[in-house]
Amino acid sequence: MKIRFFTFEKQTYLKFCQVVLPRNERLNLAIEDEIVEKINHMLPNLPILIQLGIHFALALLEIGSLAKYRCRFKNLGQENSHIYIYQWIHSSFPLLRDLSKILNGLVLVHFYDDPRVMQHLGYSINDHIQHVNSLPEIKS
Amino acid sequence: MNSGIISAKEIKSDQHLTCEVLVIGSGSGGGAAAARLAEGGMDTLLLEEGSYYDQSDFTRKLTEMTPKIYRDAGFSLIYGNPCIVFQEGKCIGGSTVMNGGMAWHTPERIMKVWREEHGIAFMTPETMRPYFEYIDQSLHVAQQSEDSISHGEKVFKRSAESLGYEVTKNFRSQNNCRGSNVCILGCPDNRKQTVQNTYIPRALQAGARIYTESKVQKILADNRRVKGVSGIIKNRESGKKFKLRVDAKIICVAAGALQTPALLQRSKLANGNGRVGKNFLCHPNVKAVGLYDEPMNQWKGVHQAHQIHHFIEEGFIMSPGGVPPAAIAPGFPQFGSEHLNLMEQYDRMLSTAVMLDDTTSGWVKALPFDIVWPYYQIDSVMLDRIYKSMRLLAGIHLNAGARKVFLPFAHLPEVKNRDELAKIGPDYVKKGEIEIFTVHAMGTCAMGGDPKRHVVQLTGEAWEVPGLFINDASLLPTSIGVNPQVTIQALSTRIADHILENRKHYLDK
Ligand SMILES: Cc1cc2nc3c(=O)[nH]c(=O)nc-3n(C[C@H](O)[C@H](O)[C@H](O)COP(=O)(O)OP(=O)(O)OC[C@H]3O[C@@H](n4cnc5c(N)ncnc54)[C@H](O)[C@@H]3O)c2cc1C
Ligand code: SF4
Repeated sequence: MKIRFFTFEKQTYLKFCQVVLPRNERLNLAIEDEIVEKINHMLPNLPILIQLGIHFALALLEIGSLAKYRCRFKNLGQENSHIYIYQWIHSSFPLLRDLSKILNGLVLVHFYDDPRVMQHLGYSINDHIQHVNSLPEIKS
Repeated sequence: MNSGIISAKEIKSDQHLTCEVLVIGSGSGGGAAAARLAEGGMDTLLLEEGSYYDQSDFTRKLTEMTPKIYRDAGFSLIYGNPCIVFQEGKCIGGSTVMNGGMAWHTPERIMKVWREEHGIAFMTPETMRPYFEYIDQSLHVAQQSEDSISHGEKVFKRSAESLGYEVTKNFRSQNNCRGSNVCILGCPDNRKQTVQNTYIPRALQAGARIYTESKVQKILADNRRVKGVSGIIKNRESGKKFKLRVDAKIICVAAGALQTPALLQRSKLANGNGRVGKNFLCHPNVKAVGLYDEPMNQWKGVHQAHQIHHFIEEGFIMSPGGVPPAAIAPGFPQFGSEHLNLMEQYDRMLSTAVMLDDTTSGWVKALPFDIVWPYYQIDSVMLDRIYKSMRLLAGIHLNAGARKVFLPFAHLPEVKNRDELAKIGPDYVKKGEIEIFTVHAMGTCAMGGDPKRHVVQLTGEAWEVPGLFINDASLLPTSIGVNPQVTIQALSTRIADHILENRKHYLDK
């Protein structure tokens, strides 16, 4: 199965991404669109059950929001969306916890793989590799 | 592209090929077998489902590399409570391309169990020594130079030793590794010695033909004697597919411990005793990350320079193992600013893990739509080992001065002092709430002397199907408690030697 996101799913994931995206006063990158696009691109490579889980989770986010706030998730205010996602991530229902972990995990993997973020963390891997390669060969 | 490797791009029509010996899968087992067979003069053909990548392709970016070199982009799951995240390779070189390079011989106590409980009489240190020496030489197995070891690893080692634990320097398949710590994304400097840069060039040099993006879907047999395989060659970029048919009287299956049993099940072969896919073992891993006040620079050193084998008889080993930020980040339950505030301390983190020996086993089943379903449920013995090993591991961090230790438990995400270590037990940590991952699948077509209990005889040939050999991690009848690539390669090489010695017998049939 290789179903990419429908437009409404992208909107839901985008909102989810806006809530969970790591940012603070030192680093505030508005790269939600980029990340959701990259996740959409990676989607067909994931196991079928995870792909299904993601589609299901996005639908569930909307249904839960309608039931709880009578409003589509993408239209929820900042505070409510934050509370809502917090409750998912820390839910006592393993299914909700696991689904939010998948959605959040994909965002985090893409976020921390961004060169700007790596640089912010001081993870300058290319410089390090250049440095070790300039050292004389030492047989181990 | 390495000359001699034929990729799907070059294929313009359905293929019908013949060879003396066909190897399915180019990882630890398949690569070792292909080199030995081709160098022994056999007309060898190797089919690999994944693509070919070399050091120039290894970009050090996780989201770019995982969809290319890992199956399922590295998100495979083993079902159970909890589900276990599993990773394996899908490219030329198989899982060795992204493995940590740890290279341990089969422990003697395991060889004894294999001899006494599984009838594998040849599994003695004397018989296996030439094989281990050959693998060590092929992979350039050596310990790390001091300057390739990170400050963090040295802190961890000192702490463990001060607590009286024996810390062992790792043996790794590497040549002058300088500690760039991106092993899991493919070594960009070719210093890690993988199947892709050792056995594969040798196999090609000796005349083997290697096809990539070539997936075997079915093994064909006449009267339970193998005669070939069918499959597809698929161009990853264009999506174009061609049919593939290979005629061969000898087939070595080395598709890994999940895909191999699935392939046999789909082919309805070798499973008269119902043991194909049973005995699934996986060395479950659990992680702990220490947060320190001083920089640990773990990423400026080799992925895993040491292991603590002190508790190996109790069923677990411990080790530090640094990974890039994108790999460590999803393990923390925070989100938003809290997550970034935490990750800004990446350089002060020291990532460590426990690898457990299996005391139970699961199974693997081939389902429709090409789904492979692995199931594994940790038992109470393993759960107790998780509690004990995580108390010890977190204790090493705290002893080393960690401000806190992050744990993979939903309701006990961290401990800050030694008194809190006692919480790591059944009151706070339930089985289903532990994050477990693994990279060692084994055991699903076990070798042994009993046709009722084992799938494969001591020669590597399936008990029920002449000409069908298993050459990968599926062979291992028990878990081995140490990293398995050397054991897999040694067994596969020995099986290849049996084929070479009996070549006429198999080909004349
Ligand atoms: C991240 C990671 C770290 C690891 N670290 C270590 C370590 O430090 N030390 C150690 O000893 N071990 C380590 N391992 C484990 C070790 O690499 C594996 O146990 C070993 O490579 C398994 O060998 P194999 O031949 O069974 O399968 P693999 O090496 O996985 O090779 C199987 C190959 O078969 C191909 N294949 C599958 N199905 C088909 C098909 N139908 N048709 C054609 N081709 C197919 C796959 O694409 C794959 O390339 C690690 C593994 C991973 C993933
Ligand atoms: S630590 Fe770096 S140089 Fe060493 S094997 Fe791993 S990726 Fe290669």
